[in-house]
Order: sequence, then C-alpha cells, then structure tokens
Amino acid sequence: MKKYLLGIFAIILAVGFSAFTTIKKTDTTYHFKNGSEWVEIDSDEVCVPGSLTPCQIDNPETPAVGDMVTVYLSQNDSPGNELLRN
Amino acid sequence: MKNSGIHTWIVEIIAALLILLFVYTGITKLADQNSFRAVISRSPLIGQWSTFLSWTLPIIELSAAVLLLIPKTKKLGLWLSLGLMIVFTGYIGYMLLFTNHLPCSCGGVLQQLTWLQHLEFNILFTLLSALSIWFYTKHQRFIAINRNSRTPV
Repeated sequence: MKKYLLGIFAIILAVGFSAFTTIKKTDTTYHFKNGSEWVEIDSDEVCVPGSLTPCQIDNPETPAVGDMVTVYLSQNDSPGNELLRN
Repeated sequence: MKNSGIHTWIVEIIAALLILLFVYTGITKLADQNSFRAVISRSPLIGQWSTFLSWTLPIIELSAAVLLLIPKTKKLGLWLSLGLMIVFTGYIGYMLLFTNHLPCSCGGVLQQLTWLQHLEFNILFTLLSALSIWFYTKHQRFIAINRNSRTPV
C-alpha cells in the first residue's frame, strides 16, 4: 500500500484541481472589421495577452473551420491596436 | 545503497508529478470535450482528426497515469510519459515556428499559459520524464548487480 501512497495522493490532488479550477467562461465582446463595417462578436474564447501575434477567433459570420479574424477590443483598427497574444 | 534510495525517491516524485499532470489534463479534456474538440479542429496540423484525438488523447493520458501508479508497469508508464511529452512539445514547437494562427489552448489552469510558457512547461516535464527513466534504469542495474554478487543490500 505504501508504494501507491504518493501516486494516490497525486490523483486526489489532480481531481481536486480539476474540480475547483475550471476557468470561468465569461463572454467578452470583440470587434472585427468585415470590409468597411465593424462587427461585434460575443465570445468566451480567451485571448491570453502577449506581444507576438494578432489574436484571432472564429468568424461567426462565416463559421467554416479555419476562418479566423483578427479582433480588437474596440472599433479601432489603427496599427498596434489589435489584440496580441503569444 | 544510499544513492539507490535517493534514486528511488526521485523516480517516485517525478512519477507522482506526471500522474498529477496527466490525470488533471485528462479529466479537464474529457469534462469539456466539446471545447477541446473545437480547439483541435482549428489546428492546421491535426484539425481533420479532431474527433478521434479529442477522445484518444485524454484516454492515453489517463492510461499513462495508471501505468505510473502500478509498480510493475511503472517503467512502461515512464516511457509512455516521455513519448507523450515529446509529441506535445513537438506540436507546440511546430505551431509556434510555422503557423500564423494560434488557437486557444487546452483548458483548465494551463489555458492561462501563453504558447511560449506552455512550451517551457512541456520541455520541463519532458526532461523530468527522461531523468526519471535514467534513474529508474540505474536503480534496476544496481539491484541486478547486487543480486548477482549475493551481497546483502
């Protein structure tokens, strides 16, 4: 039984973590430019902040797989205002 | 003999950490299976196998955890863990180097990591897995040598 003690403890910890640390999915309103018009997207996708690549989420207007759009927190597509992630 | 004791403890601790990681990520993926499948489907590399992978990956992770728990299958569990970590780390490395679109990550606490942090995390666990195999093999050789020389340990 002693051989299993550490492993069982790890399993209990893992089950506890998974039960109590689920990420709260809150909807955030993102904006993307569809041609010349601004479109709002309410999404629970998380753009973990970073500094490398533009944050992109699924386009709800054309929900094909792989159809991603660059998003902004406000209706401002000036260079440097897009949400960036690592 | 003292070294052998330390080696055993190191292997046990690393195995426990791997069990913690795989049980946590496996349960999280199965609990939010739809989101996990949606994330995989956005990947240019593995998107076409999203349904298959959304089931098999967490099952393999949980299987690795079980193998690590049982002393008789611990060695197999360690090798499976190393293989899994190499695959996961390779995938993240490939995505960071060769793709422009980086979909959101797997879920749970690890979802809060950036892709770069996730890569560092995976590299750490890959090294830990390799280290535990090395110590496990060394300990097994120590036992075999002492058994053959009939020296009480």
